[in-house]
Amino acid sequence: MITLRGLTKRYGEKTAVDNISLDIAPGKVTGFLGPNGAGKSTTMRMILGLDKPTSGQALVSGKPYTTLRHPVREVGALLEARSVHPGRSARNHLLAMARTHSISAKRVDEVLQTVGLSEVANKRAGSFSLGMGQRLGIATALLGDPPILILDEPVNGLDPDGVRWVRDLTRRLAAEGRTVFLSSHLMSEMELTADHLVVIGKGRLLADLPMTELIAKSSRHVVRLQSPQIRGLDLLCSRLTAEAADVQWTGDGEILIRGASASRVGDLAHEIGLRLHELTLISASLEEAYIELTSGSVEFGTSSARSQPPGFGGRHEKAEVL
Amino acid sequence: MTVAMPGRLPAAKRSDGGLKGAVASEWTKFWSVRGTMWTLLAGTALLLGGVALAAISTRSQHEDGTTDAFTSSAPFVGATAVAFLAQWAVAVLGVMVITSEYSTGTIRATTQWVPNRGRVLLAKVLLLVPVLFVLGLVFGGAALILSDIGLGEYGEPYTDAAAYDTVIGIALYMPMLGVFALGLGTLLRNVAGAISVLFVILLIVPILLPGLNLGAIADYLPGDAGANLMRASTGEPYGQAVGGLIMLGWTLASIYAGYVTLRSKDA
Repeated sequence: MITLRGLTKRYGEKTAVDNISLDIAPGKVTGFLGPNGAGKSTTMRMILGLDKPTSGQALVSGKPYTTLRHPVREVGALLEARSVHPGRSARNHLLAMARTHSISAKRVDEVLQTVGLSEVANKRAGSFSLGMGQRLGIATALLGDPPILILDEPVNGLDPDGVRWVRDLTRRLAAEGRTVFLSSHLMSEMELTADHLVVIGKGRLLADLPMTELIAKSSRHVVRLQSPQIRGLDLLCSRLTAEAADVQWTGDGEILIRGASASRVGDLAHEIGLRLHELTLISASLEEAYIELTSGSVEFGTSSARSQPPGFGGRHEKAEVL
Repeated sequence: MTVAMPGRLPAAKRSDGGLKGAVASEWTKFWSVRGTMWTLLAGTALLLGGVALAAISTRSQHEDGTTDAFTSSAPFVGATAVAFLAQWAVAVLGVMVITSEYSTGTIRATTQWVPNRGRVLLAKVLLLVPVLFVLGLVFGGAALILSDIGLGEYGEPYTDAAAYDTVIGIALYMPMLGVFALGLGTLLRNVAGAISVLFVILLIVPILLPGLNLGAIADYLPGDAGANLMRASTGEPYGQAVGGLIMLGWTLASIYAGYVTLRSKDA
């Protein structure tokens, strides 16, 4: 369990992380999303005791990281920024880590084997490719067999096999009951990996909810309905509008509904005795939901790269998601 | 899912890790980069070069029959070679132990493994002190023997006690200088910056100050304190023991300043 309580970090005038409170629960993969500069890395650094919070707390298993007696056995971390001496071999890097906790050299060889670096264990880390460097980072995260894992962009630079391996590994770690907190910019990968999502933008918490709910909140999450009974369809539309759903006629006898679940639409249709030819849920992708959610909080980006969220009248309240 | 997983790790004992673990880790880090060996070799080369230069110069002056030929004893020549040349390798080692962590990002790993900043710095001190003490003994002994050989019949006679004092002085100065450099490196977090400051404090300022009639201040800077400790000086205005104490004071002040910086700044 990772607990953030009013966590805030300011650098001079700039607030990098702004009063974030949430719990990251064990037994699932929690994805950590946000545009560049949103404060993801700073949040992770504060959890690991590398940066001191300006105010608030970041706790791991109920304690500040810096007070842990055996931190490597409590939290395994892969940070995005390089933290290995390029002249030191992968094995010696892990040995130096293991010795801080009296962990055996045998364990070092075991995690090297797990991440597939045994054959290059004695090569200088500086000669490693980006992907091998990521594998070494994952080895450091696994070394202490920790109940909590914090992985910043773990699939960065990995080939498709590696990406899949990280996905399976993180799913397996969560299945073992560990807390897995993972950031990535690859939305399709995140959609396959995470159970729960935490989204921040400009240092503020934008969303903290299960993946399915976050996607369901998207305006691209649409129910399509067809009926030959135009009058009945009209009636359904007014009932849906009364329930604050958005309805759009797209053609003869076809409407698109946003803001109501497929089951609710089906129930309503049944109530008014509407004969249906089609009732389809068109699910949004995580990417669509994410872009929509963070459109107001992009720190460094081009306006054209981020299309306006689709929908009726372009009206989208970020606050609705929370 | 068929992904391979490492086995479970046996539970930790309370005695695991701690300061002992931090020192063991520093030991591994120190010896697992090539820079360490290269710096030690460079120090040895500087020592050899310094002694050879002094010996050759003394010999040639005497053999040319120069009337006011430079004469000196082997311990003095050896200590001078350390004070002017070989000590720079030790200063670089002390600085590199911390600044290379900042330049490579290893400091982020180190502070994750050992979150207590004071313990990180203390572990580095406990690595440097014995390593540099032994290095000092080797440098001292080697400098003495090589100076003896180099000076030959032109060397001034010296007592066993004088030889002993010089070797011990070098063996004590090396760890203090290393820790002094470590403190500066921790304060400045930058190799070039820390080496430059060391160069100014140890060499430039002591040369400049007498010209400003401030020579008395130069006497109490780390360079002169170290020279007196190693008996590479005339013993003015204080002797070996006081030189050692003044150097110790500089060392403690530097490492404390480094500690305060490390504790207060983000990694």
